[in-house]
Amino acid sequence: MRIPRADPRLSAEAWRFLLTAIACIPVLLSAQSRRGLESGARSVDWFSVEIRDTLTGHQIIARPTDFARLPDGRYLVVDQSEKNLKVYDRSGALASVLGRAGGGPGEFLSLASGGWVSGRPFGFDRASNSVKWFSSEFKYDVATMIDLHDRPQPYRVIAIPGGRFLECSFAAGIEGQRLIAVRDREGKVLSSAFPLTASIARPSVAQYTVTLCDSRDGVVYGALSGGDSLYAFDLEGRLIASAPLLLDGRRVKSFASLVDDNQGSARLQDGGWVQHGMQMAIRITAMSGGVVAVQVIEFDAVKGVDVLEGGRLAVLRLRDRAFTQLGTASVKAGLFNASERGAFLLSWVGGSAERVEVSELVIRRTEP
Amino acid sequence: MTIEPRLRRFLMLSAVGGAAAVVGASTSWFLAADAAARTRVLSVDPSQTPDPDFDSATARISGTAGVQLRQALARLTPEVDSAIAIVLTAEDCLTCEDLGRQLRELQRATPLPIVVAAESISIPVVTTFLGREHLRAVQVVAIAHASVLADGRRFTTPAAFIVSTASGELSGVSHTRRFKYARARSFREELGFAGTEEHDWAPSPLKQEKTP
Repeated sequence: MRIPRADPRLSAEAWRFLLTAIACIPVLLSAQSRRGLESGARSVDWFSVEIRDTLTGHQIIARPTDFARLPDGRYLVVDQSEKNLKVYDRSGALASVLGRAGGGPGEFLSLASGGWVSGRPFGFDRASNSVKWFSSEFKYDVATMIDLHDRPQPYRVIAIPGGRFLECSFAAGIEGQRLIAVRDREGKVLSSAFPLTASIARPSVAQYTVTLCDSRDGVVYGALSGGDSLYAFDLEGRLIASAPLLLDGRRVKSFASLVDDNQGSARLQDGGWVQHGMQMAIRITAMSGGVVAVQVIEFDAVKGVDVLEGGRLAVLRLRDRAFTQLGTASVKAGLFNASERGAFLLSWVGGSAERVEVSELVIRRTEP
Repeated sequence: MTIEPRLRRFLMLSAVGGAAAVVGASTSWFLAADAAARTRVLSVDPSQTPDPDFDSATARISGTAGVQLRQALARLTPEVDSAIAIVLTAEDCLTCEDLGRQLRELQRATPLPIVVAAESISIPVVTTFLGREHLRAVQVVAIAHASVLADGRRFTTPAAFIVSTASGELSGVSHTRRFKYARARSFREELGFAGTEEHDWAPSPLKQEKTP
């Protein structure tokens, strides 16, 4: 198994095989022991954590949003529901808990995302629009406020190389506002991209739309949940390329077009929602070599959706300022960050519902 | 165009609130709630007022459990004298981001079994929510909210009660506002259960927040 690289010699047939391998991983992992997989063919386990509650209560991973592998081999998990960050050792044993629910120092009212940058963990508190930093010894250190001047409300803030942040915003903004920003460690906006269009800025669409983004190798990838396209920008905010999101050869329908087709309303005559049952992008992860995956999930207007429940992956490659769709696959796991080696990280709740499994997908290049 | 800062903040919060209410988290996105559902005070029995012992968003409720709830508890928890009944709606699950954590905290703090009562129309959303929040040990029963109390009084949700399975005596709290973010007091504290040290709402042991 090797890290996937953009390789012009890799044929579409080979990619179909690789993506089939992605689809198989949750099935493989549920059927085999973690150890057993290491000798398997298509994935290397990251870690596996019991989520059965314990006396401390902190063992549970309720709703993970981000994973990171620390330089010393430990793992960082950002738990949106428990409002803390957990550090696990290589065996999956809980080593530290950072932060907790609350509005005080080192506490989170709404932990939306987090990660590890420049040797320190951080969490983004959406309620207070602040990035809360912890020291390398996992003690709370300082909060960096996100200045919202002329910026829409951030939805997620993630770390990108160079000690910078990538900020993806809610689409409930003013037409022309840019939905993605690159900020430095102090929160200063270095550049922005992805201007909000009039069709998305409408309340009937915007309130169901957030920006998805990731960055790798100096390229920022962006899409809208409820959108039908994937975009690539440089770090200065200039558009490099765009491409339709295709599933089974057909472009995903945007929520804006569905609302337009319904006389401008998100509500159907029977009281239902026009988006219900439609395909919706939920997560983007970029890998090295210009490869980017978009997780698309069937939107459930009644129950909501959970990235861990899987869906479809559309995998594209950016090369020579143009996207090529490499293939699609069904997955029973959620697409999370890329590992430091540039592989996909997929996570799901184990079959017994008592484990969160995280797998680093290391794809072997195969000859067609 | 220049927008007065307070108006701008109001507009932003209004717009963002709408989105925030429907987009709960990166891992879970919801559509069913809208901006109006964020933190509104619900229409309830006028006698339900916030309890000064708690805060402005918590009301104390006591009375007798309705027949349906008593029967359900007798069936689901036959070996205990008391149980905890949590009353939820789909809207609670879709709006209150902190609900799962609060219920897990309550589950850890009490030896009593927990039963969630919800209107039948809310059951699919409630059961999905409980599963996603790893609250699988919690049992769910479909009961009309008007039947939770024997006298048919209405109350806001989410609500939590300790119910005597023998006498039907019921006491607990209801949250008069739906909080999107972390709630200062949780059901565990409001029902009087001691928390583990890590979960007590004590002053943070961490050093004071500072800004660069």
